[in-house]
Amino acid sequence: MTTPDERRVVVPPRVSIPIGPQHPALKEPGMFRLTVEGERIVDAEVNIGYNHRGIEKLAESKTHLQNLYLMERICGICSATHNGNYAQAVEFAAEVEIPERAKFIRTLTWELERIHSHILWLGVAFHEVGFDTAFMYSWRDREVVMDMLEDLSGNRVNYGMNTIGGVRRDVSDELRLRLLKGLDKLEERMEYYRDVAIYEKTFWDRVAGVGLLETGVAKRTGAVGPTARGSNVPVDVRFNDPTQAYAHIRDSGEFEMVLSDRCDVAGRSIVRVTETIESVRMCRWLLNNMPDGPIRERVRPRIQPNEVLARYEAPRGECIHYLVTNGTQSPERIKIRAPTHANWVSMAHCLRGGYIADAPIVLAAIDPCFSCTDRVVIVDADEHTLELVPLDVLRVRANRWYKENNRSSD
Amino acid sequence: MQAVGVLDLAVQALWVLVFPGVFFITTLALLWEWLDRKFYARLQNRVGPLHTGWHGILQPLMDFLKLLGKEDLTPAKADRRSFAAVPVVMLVISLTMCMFLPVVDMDPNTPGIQGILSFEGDLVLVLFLSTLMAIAIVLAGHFSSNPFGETGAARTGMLLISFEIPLILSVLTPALLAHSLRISTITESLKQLQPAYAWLMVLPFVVYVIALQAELERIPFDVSHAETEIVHGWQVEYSGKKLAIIHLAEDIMLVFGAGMVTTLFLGGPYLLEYIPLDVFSAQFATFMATSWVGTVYYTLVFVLKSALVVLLLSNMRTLFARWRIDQIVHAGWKVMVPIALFNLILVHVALTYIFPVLGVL
Repeated sequence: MTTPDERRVVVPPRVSIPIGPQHPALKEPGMFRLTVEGERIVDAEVNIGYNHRGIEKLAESKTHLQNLYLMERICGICSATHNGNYAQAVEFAAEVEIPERAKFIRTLTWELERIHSHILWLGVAFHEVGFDTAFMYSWRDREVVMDMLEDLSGNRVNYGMNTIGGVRRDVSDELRLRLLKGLDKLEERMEYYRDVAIYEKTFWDRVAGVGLLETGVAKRTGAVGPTARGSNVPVDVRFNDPTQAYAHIRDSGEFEMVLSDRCDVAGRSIVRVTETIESVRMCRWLLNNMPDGPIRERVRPRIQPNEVLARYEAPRGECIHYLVTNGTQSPERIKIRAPTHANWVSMAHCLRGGYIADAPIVLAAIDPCFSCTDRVVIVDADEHTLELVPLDVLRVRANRWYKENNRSSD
Repeated sequence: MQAVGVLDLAVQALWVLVFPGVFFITTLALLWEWLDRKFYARLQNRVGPLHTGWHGILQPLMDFLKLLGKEDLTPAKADRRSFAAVPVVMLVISLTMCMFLPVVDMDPNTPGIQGILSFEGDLVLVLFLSTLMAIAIVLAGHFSSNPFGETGAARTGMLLISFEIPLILSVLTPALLAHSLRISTITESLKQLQPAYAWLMVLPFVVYVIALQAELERIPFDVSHAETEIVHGWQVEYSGKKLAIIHLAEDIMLVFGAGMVTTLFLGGPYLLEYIPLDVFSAQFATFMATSWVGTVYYTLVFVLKSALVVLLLSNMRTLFARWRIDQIVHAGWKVMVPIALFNLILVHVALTYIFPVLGVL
């Protein structure tokens, strides 16, 4: 018989499991180092930076009009987000008001994009928990909205709808009828998927109580978008600080911000699915209340020196374009804060204490988009370390290095 | 005398290697993989395998041949010999298990249909071998020395301890009804039982099919090679020939699983015998056992019934999301084991007290 002092707690050995940079759960490269004891995650370390493309720097050497199409290529899923938000930023800087009809069409594109992005997310979420049938079904029905976007803009992915001072394509009456028909189908299907997500027990068991992000933590870590709204934090630029036709949408009083107080992945799922249905209704409202008039206002190519901040509620959360103009055709500085960047901070908190099996769905629950987000990362191949370095730290280090290694001119 | 011995040996080798042995089972395995994939795909609104052969029927074979020709890598950290041994062990175990399936009558002198291997108590051996298969999987994950592989192996172990018990308990019902632990005798005597006994088989059938799904590591029990979580778990380091053999062994396990459901719960290769007509009585069995017609007939019925089971299994695969391992262990011990035990009590009570009162023999 063992005496109490001989007794010891057997702790399973800690194993470090890398999820990424290449992993089937990740559609883009990212790095999550999970420290696990058995199946439990005891620590999580989140690293990104495998996808840096220097778009902000490149934008400084191009004209505003060229930049529209560059911004569109930041992300394949929220292409209208960056494109429209940049156009909006330039218009703010130029201090021009665009026609009402253009605002409605721009908003319509944004909302259709939200629908397609949320259905895409839903499919990915189903896939992450191994529910491939629902994944295939939801992506099949996503084709409806993809076709509608193609009908509207001529493209399936990079829509190129916005230009500085308005939009490039009008919505004809026939197109309007076709879109309304597609919206009916989408609403019906989305209600079905909402029921699947809530009532299919195996799926619900995998999302309920998983990846907890308490309201306080969500606020403190600055979560945005459905991640925050799933934790009952009322942030939605469409309602808090509406631009374009969102002001009319808010004033119509027919729409409300979708919130959930569940604080887990299930809450985020419900917010996204309900928001999709809400988006369908918004699109219908926009099509039915679209004012007549021109769709474009001429804006001079040289924008006076100005400093603006354009906000837009992208499908993943608040997307910020900070633009400094200098009186030329090109921006002095453009800074993009993609929603995923804001949601990263809470990620390690969500992962800790969960199971390895939950890691993919917790990661997917913020709908990460690395290509929007990436920053400088220093990889030390000799010591196998990764270090995420923001710009200001880099600057401080550079200054220190030059101070210590003074290049005297003797 | 010597010549007869050699001929006998040759015939036996033909049975083991061609029909109903290795070749037949392997063909069936690839066929079932196609059926499973195609049906799964159609239920998901996809087309599935399409281009190789009729409706892609040769696709599993092509995949197998392609994998054979791929580069075969062994991780530097892995235990080289054991790592290479696991696929072979899995293939051998799965083939051996299939030898016990009664497809055609291998021994006309004994009543009933025997598999290539058949003796009293072979059911126990088969159950032991299926556990051994799971242990081989655990070893596969362990030998690959990969965190994903080890996690997958640990999960297979958890799956094993949760679903092996209900599987064994559910198999006991047919054995109890037939008073035998020999697979061929079970099939043979189930045929002669009255239809009332079918009610006792419903619950163990459901338990067995669910446990089988876990045994074969298919959705919702595919935790041990969950693609999005641990990148195919214990298979992660296997490639080339080894992976091809592992896939083949898994397909053969599907043949075995579907075959066992057919044999123990769906009446094996008997179909016409269930029609209560004089034509299908004793002489019919003798005729079938001695002529080539029987071979064709029994094989067709067996394949048909197994195909139905495979369709049932693939349909189950489309309906669910993947469970987490803790949920599986909960389901196994809190639901499946009690149901299986309750069923055993039910069968015993029915056989001892209820059926005699009702006058069912």
